[in-house]
Amino acid sequence: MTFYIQLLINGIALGSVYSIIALGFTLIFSVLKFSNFSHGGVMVVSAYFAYIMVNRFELGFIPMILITIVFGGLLSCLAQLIGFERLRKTKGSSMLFFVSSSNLGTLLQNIIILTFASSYYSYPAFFPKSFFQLTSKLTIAVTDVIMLLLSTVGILILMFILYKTRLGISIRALSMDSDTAQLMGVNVSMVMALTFFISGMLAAIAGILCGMKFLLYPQLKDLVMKGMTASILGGLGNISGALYGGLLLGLMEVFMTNFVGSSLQPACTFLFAIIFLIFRPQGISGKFVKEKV
Amino acid sequence: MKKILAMALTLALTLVPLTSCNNGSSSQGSGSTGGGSDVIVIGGINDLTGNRSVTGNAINNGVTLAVEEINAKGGVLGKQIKYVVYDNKNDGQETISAYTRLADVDKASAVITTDASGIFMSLIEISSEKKVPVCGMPSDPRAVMDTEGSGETYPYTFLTGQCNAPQQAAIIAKYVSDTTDLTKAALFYDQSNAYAVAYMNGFRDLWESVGGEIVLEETCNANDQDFSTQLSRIRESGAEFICTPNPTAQLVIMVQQAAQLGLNIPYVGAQDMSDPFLSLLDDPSVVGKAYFQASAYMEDPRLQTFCTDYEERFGEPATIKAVNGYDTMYIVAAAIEKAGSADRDAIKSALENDIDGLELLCSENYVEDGATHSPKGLGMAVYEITNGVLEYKTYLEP
Repeated sequence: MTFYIQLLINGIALGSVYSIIALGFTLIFSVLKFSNFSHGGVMVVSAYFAYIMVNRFELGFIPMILITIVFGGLLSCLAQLIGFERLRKTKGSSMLFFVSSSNLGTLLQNIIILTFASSYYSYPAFFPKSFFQLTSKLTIAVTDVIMLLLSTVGILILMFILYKTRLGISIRALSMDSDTAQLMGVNVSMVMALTFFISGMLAAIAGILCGMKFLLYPQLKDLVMKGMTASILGGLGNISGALYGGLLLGLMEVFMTNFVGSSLQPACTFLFAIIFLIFRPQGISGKFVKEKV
Repeated sequence: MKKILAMALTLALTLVPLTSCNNGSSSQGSGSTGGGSDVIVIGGINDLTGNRSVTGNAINNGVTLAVEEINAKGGVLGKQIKYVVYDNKNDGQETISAYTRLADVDKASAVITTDASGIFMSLIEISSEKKVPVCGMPSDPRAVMDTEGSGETYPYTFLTGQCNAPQQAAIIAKYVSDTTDLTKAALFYDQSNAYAVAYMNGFRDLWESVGGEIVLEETCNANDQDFSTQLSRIRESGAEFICTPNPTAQLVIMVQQAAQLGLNIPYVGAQDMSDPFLSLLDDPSVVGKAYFQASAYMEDPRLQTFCTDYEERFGEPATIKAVNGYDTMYIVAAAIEKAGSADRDAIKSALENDIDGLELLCSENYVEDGATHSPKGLGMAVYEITNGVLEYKTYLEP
């Protein structure tokens, strides 16, 4: 029994990784209705930026996170300016948004590859202990606890912003009809930039935590696919769904690895996801936003 | 104006991939083998930007350093060596394309490539067709020999600088069996990694032959990042140690996740446990005990000049993989000397018959066995890690 409780903890821990990636991904989807694959690129560049902050400037954990969050936000804004702003203004095809985001993600990843590919990197130990011993055979990693907390807190803050602030009202108005929102006095460019800034901040947190949990390498960007799967399972474009979807995906992967082995696990996990979506296409949360593409 | 800009952009986008895949100064083949009268072209194919780029860059740097040394001493047969390298991104198809280009366009006399067995094996067929000898460090014996069929060697593929995976596994299994009381092993390996599978087969055979027990076998895939399920199962199995020949990145993640699960048992691994493995761990002392073998003893006084030169040249410490690349280039250079020309078949013949008593970093008396296309009697350095501290123990032959 203890073994299965440990698997449950492992699944929730892995799911919290996917949730935090899905969160920023799903925010852009909920507003612009396209899958933003540049999110993975912002994630990986921010993770390496944090590494430089720690190793070259010897910053502690909290200052490093704060600076990197701002960096991630600004990088995401820059990506939006280069990749999406003109497309939005000229009402470009939705497919162009998708292609542009995919190219931006690859570009950012390749910048990291060209700069850092000759060695592996890892963050130093930030905490005096790396895990909590719950019982003699039950443990949970400090990083996993932080991830779960940040995912939950991130969702609560996002929900607050979206539903209780003027900016949130503007974002939601924009997601419904950008022309009408503009006619009503919403500064669309500014709201778009702020949305991407928030998404970039979440990408930066995800990048740092993934680097801490795994290892710093350029292929961290590919985790955005897991984030996308999590957001689909949770309900496309639904903020709280990102958390549920991430947790479900993490639990599925862990239990599938245990029951069918690592070779069959990816196939079985995605088969389960397909069956789940056949019966519940709106995802766990019961709401989804229709994609433009 | 817009049209000119668009054309310039298109041209730039077309040229960038063409130039970026070539990390060296490419020779435009003159039509004769070797690229021209004053130079001998040696091709390189390594993962410079993919998920094994750390290893690929180390091998490539080792080769580059050796080429620079050889050229500084006057070259081979009075000719300078021109090293032309392509990035294969750890991809089989890219590897075949690069090899074809080296054979047909650059007119390479020989090719030095990766240690990734699966990738190396993608060259078996094309090398028989193009007839350019390929040297590398693929530890899976199937890379140089049809072990499951005729038992014959493939004509143009050579394992250089280290013994094969089953031999490596036998060395470390024997060492652990002789020096410890460990009996119950859990095997954990990347099933998509040909080296890891070949190593595990060798380890399993020897461990069971000396009375050891395999209590559990767990696998993972190349891109997996979460090993908590497999490690939880190992913790439940009662295994006394984990045998894992996985690549460095996977090892680091695995060891840290094992520590987070409170799993503190010895590891038996391969040479990926050498530098920079320990430096990548949050806390190296989480490795309470580990045993592994490597193709060279990096603290050996004979290697110190190489280590210093390497660090000066590339700004980072030398690793075992750099030693592999460096040694392989010297083996190829020796083969060209023995062949007396840059002719591909002559070099192949020299690699089979004339590499004997060569002084390299991995051995003072290196012999390439023509019958197996692998080193003959080459041993490995055995290391132990105790509470995060690396210590050289001994040198053992297969």
